[in-house]
Amino acid sequence: MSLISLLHDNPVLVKHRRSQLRRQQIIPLLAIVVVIAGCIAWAGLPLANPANWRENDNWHTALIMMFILQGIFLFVIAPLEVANSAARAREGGMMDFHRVSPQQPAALALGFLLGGSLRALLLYASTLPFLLLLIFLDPMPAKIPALLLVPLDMLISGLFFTCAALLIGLSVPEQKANHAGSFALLLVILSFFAWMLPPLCYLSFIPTVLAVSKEYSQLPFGYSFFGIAAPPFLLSLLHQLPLIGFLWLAVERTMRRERAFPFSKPQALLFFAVLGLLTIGDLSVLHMHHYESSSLFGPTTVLYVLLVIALFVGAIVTPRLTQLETGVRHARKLGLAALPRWSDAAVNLPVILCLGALYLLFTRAAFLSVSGEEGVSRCNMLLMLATAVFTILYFGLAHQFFLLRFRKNGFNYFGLFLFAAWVLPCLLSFVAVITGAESHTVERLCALSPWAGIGLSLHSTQNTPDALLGLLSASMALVLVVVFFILYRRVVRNVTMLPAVL
Amino acid sequence: MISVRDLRVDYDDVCAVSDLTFDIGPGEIYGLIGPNGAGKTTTLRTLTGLLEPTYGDILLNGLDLATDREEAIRQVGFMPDFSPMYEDLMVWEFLDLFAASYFVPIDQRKQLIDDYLQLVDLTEKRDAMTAGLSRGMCQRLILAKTLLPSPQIVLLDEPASGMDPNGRNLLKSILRELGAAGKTVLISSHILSELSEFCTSVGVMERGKLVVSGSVAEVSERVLGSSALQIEVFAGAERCAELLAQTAGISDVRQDGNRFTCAGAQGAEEDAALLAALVTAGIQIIGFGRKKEDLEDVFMKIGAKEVS
Repeated sequence: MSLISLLHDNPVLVKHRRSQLRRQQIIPLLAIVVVIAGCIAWAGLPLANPANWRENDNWHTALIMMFILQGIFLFVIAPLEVANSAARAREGGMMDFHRVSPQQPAALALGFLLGGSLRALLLYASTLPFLLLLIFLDPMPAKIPALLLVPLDMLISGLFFTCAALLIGLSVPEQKANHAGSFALLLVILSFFAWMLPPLCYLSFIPTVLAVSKEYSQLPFGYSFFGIAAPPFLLSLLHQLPLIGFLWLAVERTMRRERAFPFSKPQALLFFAVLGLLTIGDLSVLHMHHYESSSLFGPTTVLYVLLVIALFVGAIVTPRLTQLETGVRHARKLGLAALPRWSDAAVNLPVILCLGALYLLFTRAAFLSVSGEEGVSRCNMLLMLATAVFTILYFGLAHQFFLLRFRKNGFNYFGLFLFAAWVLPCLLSFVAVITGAESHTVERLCALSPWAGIGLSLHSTQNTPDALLGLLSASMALVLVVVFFILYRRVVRNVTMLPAVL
Repeated sequence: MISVRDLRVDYDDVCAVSDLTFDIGPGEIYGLIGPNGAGKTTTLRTLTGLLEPTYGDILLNGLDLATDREEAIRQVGFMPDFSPMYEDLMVWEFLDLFAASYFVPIDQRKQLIDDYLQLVDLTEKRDAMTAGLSRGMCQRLILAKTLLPSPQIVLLDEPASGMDPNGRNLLKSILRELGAAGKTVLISSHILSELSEFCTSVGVMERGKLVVSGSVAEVSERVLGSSALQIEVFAGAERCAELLAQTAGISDVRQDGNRFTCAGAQGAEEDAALLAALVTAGIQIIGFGRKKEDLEDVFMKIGAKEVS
């Protein structure tokens, strides 16, 4: 279905246009924004200070102020309103009406995405003429084409955050619907704080702005992907467009059915693969990072970032007991011997195995790219990768086990387990430090937690034999994999033996 | 036409609907009754595709909801038991939203909206904000929204709750018209006396199962047995008691002064003969007839207890 057909007479979009753009509400707002934007533009014009306009910073300050004003509309108001609009429709029951209407989920999603942000977009548009005026008065005309890319990058960046906000609005539990906007805002703020880290900075428009700013020479990192230099705008597109695509996929699936998984299992793996490729592609930038103290900084960052992403991706496709039971019974009714492995309701084992394999592939590639530059022993590196991969496996198996074994309370018990496996060793080592225990005891205790163990096994220490910490960490993770695999098999067998009809 | 086979719906720990099988034909107005938590709302929400059944087949006008969802739900108009509303819209805008959602051509919408506002007696509120409507008015507006796309299947969950007597009369007449127009109507309600006035058939749910289903008379008969014969005399009570005791088919005669209540599944013909015999015997009859059982009695007998 084409974008035009989705937009044409889109009922949700029309609804928002009517409710958000009532003349008596929007005209005062527009007037305020136009006056503010006009004042900013005036301050940057040669009219305000013609004598030394070219020498002073007025134009530059006005431009930055204009970007900030536009950023408020695109990155604060639009995501906030979209998240709240979707959450309110769910909470009030209107979303059910939309879902039972013959409208396509994509049309509904587009209606909420554009409709919810309509007011913010109109206010943003009202500032554009002033921005363009400032751009075309650039004291350095050669930079004008690059500056013109900034509003475009801001719009795409805004679309990314608004899509994320819509997903939050559609997914946040109903009792927390009032906070959907706050969650969306928190995501935007966190993403902007992360602009210093190259794989994340491309989610915002900041690199494009920095590229044309006066501080270009002071940038902490260059712009390249897989070592190939590229303009920041292109890099932003390269990072944002696939992520917008995946967000849209998740939004559409959630719009179709309230309790749907955001991704199917193959889509989740593809999502991880894309994020892995983007992260590896940015590795060369991390190598060049000026505050990097070791050439292992890049691969280690990749290792931790991808570990978090792998755990997250594994978690979002793990079915609850009811979903698995429903899937099994449905399969039986259809005459199938078992639930297809890649169906949404199937257990997560195939996905976490694939995630583990993909993770190994990406992190191995990351470390190979710095081989020979710095001394990390092959043994330590293998132990570190083993710990990370085993962590992905036991996290997935334990998550599935607790959800199937303890139904509603499964998530709480899973949290308790993670506390014991991840946090407790670090707490114990902290206690050991306080009680004056020897440093190798502290390190060994700490290595039992994978988060500390991965880092510790990377760097051999003076007090501990070379591979011992890595061995401890990997062994602990392996034991947990074996334990949870046994428990997982037992509980899954009980569910899959269900009769077709009770 | 609604056809449901072996439907089961589970929530986390709860089986909300189990082994549900029923058919509702065109022109039929089917009332679904049962105590709170019996599974009525779950059944209706599953029929709209809002809930995914654990298993079971749902056919809406011959279209399988599992495989042909979009076409199937196009046949359905759904009114939930509460009135969700976009409070920042005017009444006509609210209806226009749903006219557009169901692809009513733009040039036909204004007339259609005016017609349905008139149908639910909300013409005067056309340009009012929905936030200012009373609960009963909201229910009527939702009813208009439900009927506006002219669905073949109408699912109504407690439609009369919050409506004043005028609103209820309006609802009754609309439902009768829908039945006459050959639409399939499934309605769940607690206002049982009114259901029996316009439902052509009813089903009673308890603990997720359909306990009994059929016409109102059939269901009453199966649940309550035959209704009691009640006789009131002005004079001749003793003679009346003697005669009743001698009459074949009459049993369990209870006397309370000049009033008699008897059990016995007699037909109209036998009742007429008995009345004639009593009059011939010189007994002065001032009341004679069978107690009319209604759905309320059925409901109380089957499951007046709260399940939830």
